Amino acid sequence: MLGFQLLQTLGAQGVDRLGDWNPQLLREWKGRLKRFPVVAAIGISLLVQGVLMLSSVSMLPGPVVSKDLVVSTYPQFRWDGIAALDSALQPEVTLPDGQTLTLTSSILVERLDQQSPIGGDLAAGEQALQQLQIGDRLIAINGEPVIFNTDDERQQLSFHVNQRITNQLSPISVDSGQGFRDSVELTLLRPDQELFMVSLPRITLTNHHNRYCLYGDSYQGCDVTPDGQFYQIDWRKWYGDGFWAITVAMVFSLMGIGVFLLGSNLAEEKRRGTLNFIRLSPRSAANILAGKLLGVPVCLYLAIALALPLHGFLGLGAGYSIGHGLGLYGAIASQTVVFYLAALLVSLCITHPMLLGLQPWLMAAGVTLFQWIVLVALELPWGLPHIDASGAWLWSVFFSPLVSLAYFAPLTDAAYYEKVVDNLALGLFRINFAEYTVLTVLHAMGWTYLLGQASVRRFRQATRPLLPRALSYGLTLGVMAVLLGLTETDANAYYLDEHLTAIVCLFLVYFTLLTLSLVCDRQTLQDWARFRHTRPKHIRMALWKDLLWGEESSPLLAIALNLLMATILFVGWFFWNYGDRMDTPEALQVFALIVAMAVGSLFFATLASQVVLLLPRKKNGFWFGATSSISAVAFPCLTALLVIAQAEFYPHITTLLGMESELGLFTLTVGLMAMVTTGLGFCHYRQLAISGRSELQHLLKGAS
Amino acid sequence: MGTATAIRTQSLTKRFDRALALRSVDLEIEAGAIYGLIGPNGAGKTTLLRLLAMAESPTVGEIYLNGEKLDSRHPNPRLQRQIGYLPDDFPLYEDLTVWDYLDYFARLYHLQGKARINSIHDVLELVNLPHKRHSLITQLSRGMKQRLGLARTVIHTPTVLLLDEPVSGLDPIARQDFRQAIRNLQGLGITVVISSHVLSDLAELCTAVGILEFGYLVENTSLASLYQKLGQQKLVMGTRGSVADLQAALEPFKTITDIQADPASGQIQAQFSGDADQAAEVLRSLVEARIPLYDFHCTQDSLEEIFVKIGHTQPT
Repeated sequence: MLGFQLLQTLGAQGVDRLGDWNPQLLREWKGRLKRFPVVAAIGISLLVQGVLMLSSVSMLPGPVVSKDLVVSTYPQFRWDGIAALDSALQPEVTLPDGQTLTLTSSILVERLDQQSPIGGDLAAGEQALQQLQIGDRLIAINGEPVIFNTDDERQQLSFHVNQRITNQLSPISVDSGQGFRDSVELTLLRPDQELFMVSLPRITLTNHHNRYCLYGDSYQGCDVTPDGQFYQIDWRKWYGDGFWAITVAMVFSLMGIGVFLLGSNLAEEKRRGTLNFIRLSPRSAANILAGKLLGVPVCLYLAIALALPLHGFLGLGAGYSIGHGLGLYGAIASQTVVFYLAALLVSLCITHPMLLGLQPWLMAAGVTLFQWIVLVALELPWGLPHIDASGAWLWSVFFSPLVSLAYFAPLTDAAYYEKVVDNLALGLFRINFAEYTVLTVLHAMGWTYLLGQASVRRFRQATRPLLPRALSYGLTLGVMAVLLGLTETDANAYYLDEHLTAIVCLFLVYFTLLTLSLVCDRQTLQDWARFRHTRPKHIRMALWKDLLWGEESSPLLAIALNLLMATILFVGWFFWNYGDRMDTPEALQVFALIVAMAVGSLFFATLASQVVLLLPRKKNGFWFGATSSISAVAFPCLTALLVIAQAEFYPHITTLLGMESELGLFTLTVGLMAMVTTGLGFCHYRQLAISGRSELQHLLKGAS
Repeated sequence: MGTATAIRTQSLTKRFDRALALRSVDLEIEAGAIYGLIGPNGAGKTTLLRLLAMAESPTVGEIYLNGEKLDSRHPNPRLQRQIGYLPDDFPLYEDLTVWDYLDYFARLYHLQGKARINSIHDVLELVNLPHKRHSLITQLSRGMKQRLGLARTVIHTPTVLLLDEPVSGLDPIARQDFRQAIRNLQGLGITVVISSHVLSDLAELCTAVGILEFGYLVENTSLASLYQKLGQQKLVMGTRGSVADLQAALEPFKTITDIQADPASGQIQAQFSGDADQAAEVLRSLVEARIPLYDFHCTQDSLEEIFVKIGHTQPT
């Protein structure tokens, strides 16, 4: 109880008040802030910080060592290709063997670099620099004419010349320091002048490259300090990278470990049965769940809190503003709450003993994987943050606080990024950091409300649907608005397919979650069918209202209405933006059949799962899942198989039902699906009718 | 105006799948009563207690607590504070001390400051555990844990206490302690509903009983009325003289039937349907008839015998 005793000593009254406000929080703290977990949390936090800092320090370039040094001149040259000399300027040069010839071409100075020398006569170099200018032609080095004999030499002209200038003609040893006093005589020609000589000092400079070096204009090697002992370091970038590393570690710990701890705690409470007692207390579910949320990962919070000073220090060192830091923390906190609430909800929903054990691991792995995918999509490990997502997939950027980091890169490396990623591309919009942060927090608040509502409902009553049906209609509208709103509408045909795939995939995920949130358990359905008419008149709703708004009735009509709303929105959006592509009756037919197949399959799957739900069998959850999954893909697969079989075995059949054979088969399976769905609907109606019979009716029916 | 009703149910029904666990139960329990729920396994006792505790929602029917309707779907915290529920198999937080455990639940029930501390002290006294307040729960015996459970259940001073098999698995001393604790609670004006298979305990504690079978509430009455209605009395007499004389002396009394004589021991047992005055009248007449009696006493059917009797008379 080390941590807790410390807390109590610091403010017994405060702790007492905290316990009055939220007993669950106090209970979790008392259970967790014990000697070992607290010491472990502090130790691990410091260890991780230490390891990160040590690895960051190890990536610094360190002092200048001889192996990094090369011989060059001051200034350094970059030469351009061979150019013909004007006939009036062609000088006569004497070769080493005494022959003379007229030089018809030469190379010219393209650029003069001034990388600081480690050793050598800088003053002489400065003097030489005064004499030189870009465009000067090189005629001879130490009196030896510059003539390129081979093609290879011509191709690597600049390299060869510099080799000759530095040490090819008179090799020197860097270690001996011999080269520092050496110089080279260049004979140059300038169009408006005679030949002139320039004496260049040979110097040593570094060709060392490191992510954290400061570079001059040349980028030939790291800049060094005036005493030549150390490299000049880009501390902002170094601090920035440290800040990123701690942010990534923080997010992964919060998401992965936090979700695991919450899932594990809820599973344990369920196994012991203690959750039922808390449930019966007069405390609100929100109060208890908030206590869990704040209390269960308290050691993790402690470890992360210990990293905040270093994180802040690194951020300030990197030149990030406090506003950026607060924005990042806001994004992390709000999205962590979303994932934690989701973890609580999943834990509350799972009842199977085997899944109770697996659930914390699965949830933690899932969340970590998602964050990793975002990290990879951002290409943060390669230092090039950008959002490589388009269309509806862009929604995922609001689920990971790591996306915030995309805004931090240009702040420390403005020269490289040139502010190209100042604004994040969000569909057609480009949003800045403040807009992104506000949107992220608002988005997280929306999810917090939804997940909070669902958790509170499930906490109070395990058989209650997660969402009220009235809310589901608004939610469907909202989700469709986001999916369609994020999709670019001026996409070409190739991207249109990609965008439509994204919309369908994400809608499928949404629809699955929505269905799971609206369905009742078998008992509730049976009771509704049996006792609906016995309810007092003042609370009894008309059947259609009960089906659309009630919580204990069959959810089919509500799910169908949600599907219909989504379909209308999608079809409207599609025709608004791409209506011109539906210029033939065949195109319209195909579109209508695809939509009918997709929507029909989803409804068919829901209906089949409801029929299975009402069958008197054990392991209902398993059959529910299996039936809905198989039903959802049954008719699309059947269509595909028929089309393939027709093409393979009956290629001579080209028309069916007065249409092209493929289209005819499509129509056939959609019709078949409609028939089977109607039959299944009738079957479900019978199930409900039988469930609605009284015991006496059952006896009479049985007797007859 | 009669005694106030603490709990009233109206057509309370609960289905599990298509099986009815409770069938249209209409129950009334007076405030301050100790109400015993009796029934065989699966009769619906636990279900009824869970419904009263709002741990389950009824399929049909309504529950009223001190005249106010309970709604488990939208629980009213004020009404929740009036209920204390101790289920059969209640889990404890083994990692907490007795004090911390009670402190946690006291806070859950909105007890603050000194009121909370006093309440913890009071319930520890009530269940005779003050010396264990700093012990870890895992170190307590089963009987102590059961008493701690009771302490937790009453820490917020509920008006209605629901106890499901609270003495199962306890040794006789622990049961005695537990009974005493419940009597103390009744003394505080708390209405206690207790389900138990140990009918002797119920007979000792209860002021009223309800008998459940197949989900039906087949009896709901005071213990005295139950005995009067269903319990049978026997007169046991022993004579040093002739058993035949004794049998003849009893014949004029219409309240005495089914006489069984044992000449070897000189004993007679007979069903008796009269009250205490009528029993005294029988004794006086026997003495006047100079029957040399060495034994004359009246026995009563136990609750268990009544329960078995009723159980056998119910339709299945």
